[in-house]
Amino acid sequence: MGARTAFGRGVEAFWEGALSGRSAIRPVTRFDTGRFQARHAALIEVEDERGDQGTERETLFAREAADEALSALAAPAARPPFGGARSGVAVGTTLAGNGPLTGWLASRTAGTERLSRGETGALARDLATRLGASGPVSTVSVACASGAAAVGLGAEWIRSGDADLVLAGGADAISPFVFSGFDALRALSTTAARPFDVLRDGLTLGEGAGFLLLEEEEHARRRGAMILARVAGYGSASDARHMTRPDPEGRGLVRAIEAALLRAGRTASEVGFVSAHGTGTTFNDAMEEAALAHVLGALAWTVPVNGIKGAIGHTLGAAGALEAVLSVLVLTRQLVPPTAGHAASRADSPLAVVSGRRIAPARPVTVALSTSAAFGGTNAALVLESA
Amino acid sequence: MRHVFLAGAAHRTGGEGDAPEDANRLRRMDRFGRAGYLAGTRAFAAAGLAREERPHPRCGVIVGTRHGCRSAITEHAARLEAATRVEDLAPSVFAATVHNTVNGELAIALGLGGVSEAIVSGRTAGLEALILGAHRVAAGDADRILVVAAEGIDDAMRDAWEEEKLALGARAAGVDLVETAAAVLLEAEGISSNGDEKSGERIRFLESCLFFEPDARRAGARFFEWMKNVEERACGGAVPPAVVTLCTPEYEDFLEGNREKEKKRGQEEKPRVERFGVAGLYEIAREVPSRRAQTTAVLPPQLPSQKILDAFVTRDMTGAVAAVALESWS
Repeated sequence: MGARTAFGRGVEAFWEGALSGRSAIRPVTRFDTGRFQARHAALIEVEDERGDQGTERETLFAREAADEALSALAAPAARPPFGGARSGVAVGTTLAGNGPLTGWLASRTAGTERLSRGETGALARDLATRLGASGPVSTVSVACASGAAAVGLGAEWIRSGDADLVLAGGADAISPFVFSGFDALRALSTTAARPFDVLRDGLTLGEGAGFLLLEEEEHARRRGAMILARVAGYGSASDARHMTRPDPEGRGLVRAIEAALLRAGRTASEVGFVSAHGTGTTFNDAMEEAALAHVLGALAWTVPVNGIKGAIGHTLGAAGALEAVLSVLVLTRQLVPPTAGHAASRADSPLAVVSGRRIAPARPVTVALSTSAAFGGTNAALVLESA
Repeated sequence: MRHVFLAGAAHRTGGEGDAPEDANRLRRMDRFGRAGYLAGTRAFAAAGLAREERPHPRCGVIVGTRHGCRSAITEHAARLEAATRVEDLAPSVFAATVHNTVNGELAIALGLGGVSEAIVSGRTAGLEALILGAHRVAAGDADRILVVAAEGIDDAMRDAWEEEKLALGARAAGVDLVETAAAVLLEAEGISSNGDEKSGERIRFLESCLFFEPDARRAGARFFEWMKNVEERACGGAVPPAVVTLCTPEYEDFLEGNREKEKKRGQEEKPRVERFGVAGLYEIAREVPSRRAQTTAVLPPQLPSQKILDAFVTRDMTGAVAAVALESWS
């Protein structure tokens, strides 16, 4: 696994930051927020804002996380044989390519930018070219559920026999373009996101990348790989109700979770941890409370829930992937980080949101659920289980 | 794994035949959204289906596109450039700057409460969406999936295309962008929407391949190797060779040999147009209705071993290749 977040470089920085209960949300200084209501985000400090030779920020984040995913856990001789026709790359993103496109739109300088520079799919091809992958290479973009959908796409390629190894994850960077849009929608907190908190007032944007190396099980066992977890199920579903406002009863998310559990061959009673979408907006968190209460039933109150967006912001297309990384860390380390920004849930909340400090779960976590919800009414769920 | 059938298809180019009854809904979409929505609703109707009362958990939508919501992005960027305060922006425009707008609009309009995914890659996007949809249906994640590919062409994109053509050189001279959308409804076996199951006029999704190979010669070799395996597995060599439809503009140098074969067979020469991510699905949506009729005329249902095998292949300039093989089925 690999991660690049506002907590720093790498999975360990992400995990330590999450466990600490701190928030990486700060006042924005990288661009002028004078026109906007909101002023805060969880941004990554990069020495050169456009990276080397004009490389986009999301590409830099993705390269770092991808490199870590391929190398961090093994000595050079034991590293996965990534590359060639049986290796693929699945990227989830909402905004990749936006930088060159908006730059071109602003200047219209003939010859400086071309149509392909503003392509969302360019990021996946960049990774594939750098890493020598010539199997399936693609990009999935379903707004804020993109990261989870990329993991679901990569798992499907392996299940269907199209690849043995897939680097799957998501990346996005924050710009005035996206900051202004969420501010215009009045979706941003004026301070910092407080997922599931009774006083929550909106989301806070973040940026980064998360990647997981998926491998066909027999392929991994044959080479003696250290298997961290199993992608047991993926489900997606539409609200089919409204383009931006979630279904108050969370029926679309319920369908996605049930589909993922069905594919995993698991029941809701086996879920021991939930990495919630938890944006910190009034509507999303209420929807998610309703959906999880429906799926988990009376057990909802016993299953620890984390909303990582209070710590690293809403990383958009990276969110589902980073939350999958977090879920694997919970499975392997049996600790649940607190939800930064959360102090108290509303009195009738059905969820056991971990607050204040990390906990060791009362029962071992062998099945983790990660949920995502998005504009367009798209929902996604991943079920991950101990290897 | 279940068999997957193509039950309905539609395509749309330019602004032809916009349905006035959808005016209110269409107004909130950008060009990409409108194109995809209209093609999707037409394919759904062509399959003889009506909107579900409640969102159906077993019916989904998968969209493929190269540029997606680029028109909405362009508009929001222009508004931001001119804005002095956030109130100068249009929230509804920003809400349309996600590539899954077609998914959302079709889900609402047709009651598609199941699988929802959007592939945003290159020219292969439409076929990638079809491949993913077929996998989802075959694996039992859905019973029906509406697969849509769409591109909206605005003035900014035309300007950018002129620059792109300069870089492509003489081969691309005279190639025009055409706003296109296409849609195909996939169904699992046993889920009959319009009686095809009884009549035997069916097109089955057979196999697919998807890879990234920047070298055109090696990409061609990989495609033909895959095609050879498909023919052997599907037909046992007992039927004529498959018909390969090359869904790339003429300025691409992919499978040149096949283009020559197409000319010898007297197949209609394709217009010099660029449809981006719709290219592959457009050809299938065009072919399916006529192929179904042809299947009925040429192959009586009592001869199930004889099949027409069709392959559709798309290659993106960057090296991505997507191909699907379809066969008649009775």
